[in-house]
Amino acid sequence: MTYLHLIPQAETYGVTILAIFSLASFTIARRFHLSRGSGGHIDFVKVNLIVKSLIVLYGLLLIPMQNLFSLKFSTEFVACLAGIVLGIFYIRIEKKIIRYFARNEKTKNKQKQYMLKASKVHVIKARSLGLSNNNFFRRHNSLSNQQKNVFDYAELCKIKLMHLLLIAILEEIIFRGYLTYITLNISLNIYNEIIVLIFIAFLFAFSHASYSWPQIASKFIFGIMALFVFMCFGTLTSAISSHLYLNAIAYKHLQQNRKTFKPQAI
Amino acid sequence: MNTKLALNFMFSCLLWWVIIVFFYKYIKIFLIRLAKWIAKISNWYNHSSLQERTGTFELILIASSHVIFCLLLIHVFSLNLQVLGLFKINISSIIYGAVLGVGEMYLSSLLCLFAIRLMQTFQYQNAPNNIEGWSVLAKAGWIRHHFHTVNLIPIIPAYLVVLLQLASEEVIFRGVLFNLFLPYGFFAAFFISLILFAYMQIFLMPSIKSCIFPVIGAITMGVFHGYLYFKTGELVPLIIAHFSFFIIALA
Repeated sequence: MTYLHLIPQAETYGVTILAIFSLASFTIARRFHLSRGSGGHIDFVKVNLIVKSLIVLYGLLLIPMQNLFSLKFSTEFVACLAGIVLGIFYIRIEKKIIRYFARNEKTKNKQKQYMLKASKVHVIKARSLGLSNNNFFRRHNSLSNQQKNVFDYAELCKIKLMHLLLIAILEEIIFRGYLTYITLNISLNIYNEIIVLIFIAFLFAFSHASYSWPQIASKFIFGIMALFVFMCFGTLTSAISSHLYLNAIAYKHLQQNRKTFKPQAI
Repeated sequence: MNTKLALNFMFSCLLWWVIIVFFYKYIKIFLIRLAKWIAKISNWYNHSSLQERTGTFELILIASSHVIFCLLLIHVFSLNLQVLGLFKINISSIIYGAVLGVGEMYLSSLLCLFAIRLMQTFQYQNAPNNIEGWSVLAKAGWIRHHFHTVNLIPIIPAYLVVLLQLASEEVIFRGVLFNLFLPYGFFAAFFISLILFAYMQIFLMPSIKSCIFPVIGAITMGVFHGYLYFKTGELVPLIIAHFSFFIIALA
C-alpha cells in the first residue's frame, strides 16, 4: 500500500466509498437493469455479477485478500464442512418460516381486493391538486407493473447455474469479508459494533427485495449465521460454501417450479 | 459532567432548534408568498405556466437567503471560513466526493425501497399501489422548486442556483454546527447535526408519506458526511457529494 500515501486522505474516503457501494450494490444493478441502455435484454443476475465483481476489484486495492482467508489447509477444510452443515440446517429453518407466513395469507387476499379497487385513485387525486407535470412521469410510464412482472418471469427462466455460484462467492466477499473488516477496524465499542453488524445483515437481507417477505426474513437469519461462522473460523470459506450450497438448491427448486413461479415486483 | 456545561449544552440545543425552525419554516413561507407575487407581476418567461415561474422564483429567493443566513451565522458566532475548511482543496478528494454522492443516492434508494415495501404491507389502505403514485409522492414538497428550475431555465445557471443552496446548507449543518458542538464531544456534534438536518426536511411538506424519502436521504447523508468531516476537516468534497446526489435525483 505504498501509492496510497501519495494521495492525501485516500484511505478514509476510499473505505467509506467501498462501504457505501457494497451496501448499495443491489440498487445500482437495478438502476442499470431498468435503464434504457439494457432494454430488458440483459439478465438481472448478469448485471448484478458485473457490478459486484467491479466492487470486489476496487476493494482489493484497499483490503488485501490475505486478511480474509487463513491459508492453512486443515482449518479451511473443517470450515468448508461446517459451512455445508450450516446450509443444510438453514434450509430447514427457511421451510419453517415460509410455513409460518403461509398461515397469514387470508390478510393478503384482503389486501389484493383493496388494491384492485383503489389502484388509480391516488394518481387522480394528485392530478387534481396540480402536482403532476408530464415531465415527471416520462420515465415511469414506459412500462406498466404487469409488463414488468412478465419480464421478470422471462428472466428467471434464463438464469444459468454458473452465474448464481459466482454471485454467491462475490456476495460473501462483499458482505461478510469487506464490511466486517471495515467495521472492526473503526474504533467503536463492542455494543456499537454488534449493532452495525446486525444492520449490515439486515441490508444484505433486503438486497433480495424482489422476493417475498418470508424469504427476506430468512435471509436475515442466514446473514447472522454466516457472520457467526466467519468470526469463529476466521476464514471466508465457511460462509462461501454454505452460500454455494444454498444457491445450488435454489436453482434446482426454480427449475422444478418454473411454471408455477410468480415473482413479486415492487 | 459539570452542571454548568450541561446547562450550556441544553441552552445551545434549544437556541439552534429555534433558529432552524424560524429560518426554514417561517422565512421560507414568507419567501414563497413573495415569489408568487413576483411571478404574477413580472414578464419574465411569460410563455410558461405560472407554477413553473413561481417555482423558479422561490428557488432563487431561497438560495440567496441561504447564502445571507450562512454568512450571518459565521459573523455572529465569530468563525472564519478557514476554520470551517472551505479553503482545503485537493483534486483527488473532489473526485472522491463526486463518487461518494452517487453511492449515497443508491444506498438511500435501497432504504426507500424498504420503506415502500413496509407501507405496502402494513398500511396498504393509505399507500399507493402503482409506481406512478409513489413517484408523485416522492416528487412533492420543496423538491418541486428544483424540478421547475431545471425544466425552465437553461442548464448551467439552473444548476448553479441549486449548487449555491446546497453549498450553504452544507456549511450550516456540517461546518458551523459541527464546530460549535465539538467542545461537548464528537457524538453530541454528530447526532445534533444529523437530527437537525433530518428535521429540516419535514417543513413545507404536504403529507408524512412524502416526508419519508428526503428524511431517509438526509439520514444517510448525515451519517457519512459527519464522519468524514470529523476525520478529514474538508468541506469542498462534501459539497460536491451533495451536488452529485441532487444531479441524480433531478435527472
